[in-house]
Amino acid sequence: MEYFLKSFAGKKVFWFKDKNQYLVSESSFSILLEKCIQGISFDTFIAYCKDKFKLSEEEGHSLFENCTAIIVHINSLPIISDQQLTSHLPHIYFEVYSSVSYHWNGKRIHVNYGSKQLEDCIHPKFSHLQIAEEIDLPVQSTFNIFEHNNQIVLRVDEDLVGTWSYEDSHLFQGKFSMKFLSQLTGKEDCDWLATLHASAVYKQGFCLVLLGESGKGKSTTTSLLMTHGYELLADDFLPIEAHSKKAFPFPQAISIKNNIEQLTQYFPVLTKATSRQKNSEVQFRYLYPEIDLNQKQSSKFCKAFVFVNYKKGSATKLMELSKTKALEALIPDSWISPVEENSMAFLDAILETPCYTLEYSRNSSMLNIMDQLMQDELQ
Amino acid sequence: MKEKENREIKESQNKVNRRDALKKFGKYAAVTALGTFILLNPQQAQASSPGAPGGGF
Repeated sequence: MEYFLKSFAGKKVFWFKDKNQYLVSESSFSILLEKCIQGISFDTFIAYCKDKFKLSEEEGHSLFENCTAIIVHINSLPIISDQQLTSHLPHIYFEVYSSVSYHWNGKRIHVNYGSKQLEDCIHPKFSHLQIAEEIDLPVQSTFNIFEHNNQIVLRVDEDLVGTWSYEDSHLFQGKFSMKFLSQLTGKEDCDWLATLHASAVYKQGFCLVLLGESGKGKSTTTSLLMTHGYELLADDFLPIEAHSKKAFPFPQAISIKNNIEQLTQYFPVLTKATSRQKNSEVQFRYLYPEIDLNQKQSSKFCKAFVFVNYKKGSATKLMELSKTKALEALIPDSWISPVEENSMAFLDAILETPCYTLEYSRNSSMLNIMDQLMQDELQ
Repeated sequence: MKEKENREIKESQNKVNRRDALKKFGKYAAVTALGTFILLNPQQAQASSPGAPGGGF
């Protein structure tokens, strides 16, 4: 059982490599767990607990059971392989419904869609990057997206990236985003540390990362900050670069689900934007950021992780969040590269960056406090 | 003999229950504060928001 450890504030984070599983515990418990992983006998364990932690035999017994249960659980998990699926598909003919060229970071990607449904899945998020076919710019790579045997197939040039059922279309969209970004930046999958379910804005090389459950106001807060001198780095899908541990831009449109009225005074274009159905209850509109398609993109240093909660009638409260709570919220909601150096660097990035919760209802005081945070002037 | 079998079944059920609880909740508080731990599973693949826009198949 290969594992790696990081320490913070009297606690330890384990990362079990083959199972890509994280565990956060008290430092003292981590010592006991390590002993159990190394195969300590029950009697020696009890004696160690008595001697080191002044625990009763019953308490030692209980801890031994916990450690054993953890080991049994970790062992029962499937082994995660970081191998990429790159087999070559025999040529499958599909009728191209539409072809679109996208331009960003000075590069061009060509995408062939096999149906309107598949086009609707991807294109509206990136339509602001579309360029005319006749523009003289070499194509970096061609993405083919089509249906085969009731599965969505994504092929990049001759490589099969993957196949997904329609129920897993969010995973298809996630993989598309990753490949799209990698091709447009000339990077490989292993060049990314993680992708966070987060938005981010930046100013002068520093960014604020906004997190929180869907519907808590990430996109609205992002848009409000954009009216206040901040620039959009990403919305919903935030890549973290491996070598720098910094956040990288992603050019997806901002999806505004609630508070359309709150934003139309700043973005009148939203009133005319197509209202789309996210699910039976939620509608949303895309807000397209202004992007210089030729501009060379660069990563930004993360100033803070802020878990946003827009709550009607509440006072503005920015409170420091413990690293345990931050890890608890961030890890299950993120893709983290299962490569050892990347996993450890991800933990470093989280543990080194201040984390906060922000509750607010008044825009002006939210903007004020975010400015203070950005300028190290929190009172 | 029967008593021993019963005990073994009970122990094995306990193990299953504990394992199930771990799987189900990903979080298990021990009887002492010392033994509190949290298991966290990252996403195994990059994903858009669940029920992402445009995914209405």
